[in-house]
Amino acid sequence: MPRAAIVRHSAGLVQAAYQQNSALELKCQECGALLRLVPAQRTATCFYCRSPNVVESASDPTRVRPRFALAFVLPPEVALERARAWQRGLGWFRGKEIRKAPLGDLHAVYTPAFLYSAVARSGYRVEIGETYTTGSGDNRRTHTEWRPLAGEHATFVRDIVVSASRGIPNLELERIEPYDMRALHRYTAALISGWPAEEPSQTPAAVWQEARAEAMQHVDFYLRRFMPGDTHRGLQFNTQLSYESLDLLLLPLWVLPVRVAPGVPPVRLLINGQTGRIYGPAPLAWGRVVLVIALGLGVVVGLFLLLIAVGMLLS
Amino acid sequence: MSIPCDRCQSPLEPQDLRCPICSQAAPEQDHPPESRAFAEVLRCNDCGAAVSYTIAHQAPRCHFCGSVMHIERPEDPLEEPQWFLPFRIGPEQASQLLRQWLDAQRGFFTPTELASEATLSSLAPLWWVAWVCNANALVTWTADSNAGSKKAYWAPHAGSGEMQFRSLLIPATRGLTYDEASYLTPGYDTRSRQQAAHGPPLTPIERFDVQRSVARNHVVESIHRAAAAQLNQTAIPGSSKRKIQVSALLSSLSTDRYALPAYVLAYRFRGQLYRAIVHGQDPRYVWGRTPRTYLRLYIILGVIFLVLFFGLLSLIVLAAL
Repeated sequence: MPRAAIVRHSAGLVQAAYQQNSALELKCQECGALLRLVPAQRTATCFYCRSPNVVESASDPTRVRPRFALAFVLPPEVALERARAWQRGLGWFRGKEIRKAPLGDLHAVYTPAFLYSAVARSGYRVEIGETYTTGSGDNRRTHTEWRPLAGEHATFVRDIVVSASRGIPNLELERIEPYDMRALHRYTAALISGWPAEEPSQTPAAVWQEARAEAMQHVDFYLRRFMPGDTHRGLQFNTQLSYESLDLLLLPLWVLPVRVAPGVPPVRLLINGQTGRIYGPAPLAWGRVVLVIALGLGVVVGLFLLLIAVGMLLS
Repeated sequence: MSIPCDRCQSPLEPQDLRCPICSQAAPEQDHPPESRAFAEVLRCNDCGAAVSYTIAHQAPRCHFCGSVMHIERPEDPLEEPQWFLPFRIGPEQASQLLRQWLDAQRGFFTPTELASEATLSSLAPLWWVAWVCNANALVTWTADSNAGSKKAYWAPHAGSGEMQFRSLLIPATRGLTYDEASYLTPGYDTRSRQQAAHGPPLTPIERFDVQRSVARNHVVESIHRAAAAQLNQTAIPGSSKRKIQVSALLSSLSTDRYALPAYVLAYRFRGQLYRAIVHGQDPRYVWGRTPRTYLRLYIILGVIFLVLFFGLLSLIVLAAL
């Protein structure tokens, strides 16, 4: 079985003007043509010979090298079929324009994200409700006795994925999660060779903030499950996150625009390149919404008037 | 040679990308920052052409010669036993132990002729598999118990503490039932472990039929269950308890895979086969199913019925007189 051979040619560098907004020009290692890369790209395909080139750039030392990558599993035909199914599944309120709109070109991208994990230790205070019954027969009543409880909770929070791309906001990425982390690979150029891969563009501060906020949501969920009693209220907790780690991960993503009308920005569909989960912010057809509300109001007012008329007739 | 995880100190296998306990990334060789940017092309080892990743092969494939290349995958092999505990009980002794055990069965529903009429049908030695774990844990818990209750029967409780699990044996067998494996477990002397299997010839060794990732999840769940059981006995006040919730922050979790000796026997009684397990090391542990007879129960019920019938009849006669 042949093994991958990475051949590095640092001598092929023509110009490394790798500043924030300037393009990088490298020589294709297959035919020698110029490759032009914007700073957000990690891979490039030669325009002339279609050879896949993976760029190892470290002229900006703040850029992090990916540690892990998840490979594409979903073939493009299946991704397209998912997009068509998404379109067919849109409700009447989304309007026929988007349901009939032609699908744009399907693009693959390895989008950067950070994988966060930490130790979370929390102190909490809560009121626990224990139910009991009094009386019997028709006089049987159920009551809740509230008892204060304070304690500690300790757990690992793991597999929190935070988008590192300004182009894919974290909220949109969350809609196509989860990714199956059991299929994680150590990052290697072999995985992304021939596929567009984006560099992280989110600031580290923003990523840390998002990751910690998501970790706190997980802790909140764990704590609510952790509470004894029949019910609880007034949960307050204070969590300390320690041993935090943030590793750059490349996630496979299919992106597909749906252009509803000329001059209107297209709706961007995101399709999980591993599981096929799809998300697209389909706009509401406000005309139809207003029409339904007006019809509903009309029916209510009509019924009301009818009742008044019947009442007057009877009296 | 395993290295410990930075966060929870659990040993990492050489192929681990992340710690299976806390998900911390395994240390990797540092990539020194490149002084200059460069492009690299992945080339086929067979024909030298540039290759790219293909979904169909889940690996880079050369479009010219069709070679599919290896990429590093997280290894998730089936587990294999590392240690064997030797048989200390021979097949003949196992057969005698079964006979003694049958003789000792004196239950109300057990037939009195069991020991005299039962015949040994088969006796097979085997090594069944289990994980033996050591771990430290910061355990936090909540529970309802009747201690300190007021109007409601239950009162909430919470607590935390350090716990240590030493030589915690977690059955991984499918050949034995959970009850059978749990019964045999305390009798094994893990200090007698050996790297080679020593026992009756051709003794089968059960396979761990789960992969490493699944096995570790199973181990962690078992430790949570063991912690809950221990807390139930020691830390949670009251005589009646419910809704025990445990969150354990595990550290230094090490797991060894053991093959444990036992005999699986079958005996025949009045035409029916019954199964029994004899421990391979400790003669005190014999587990099995026994036939049941309901004759005595029917006799007692009949006597009660007759007493009630005649008692009632007497009352009616007395009332009539």
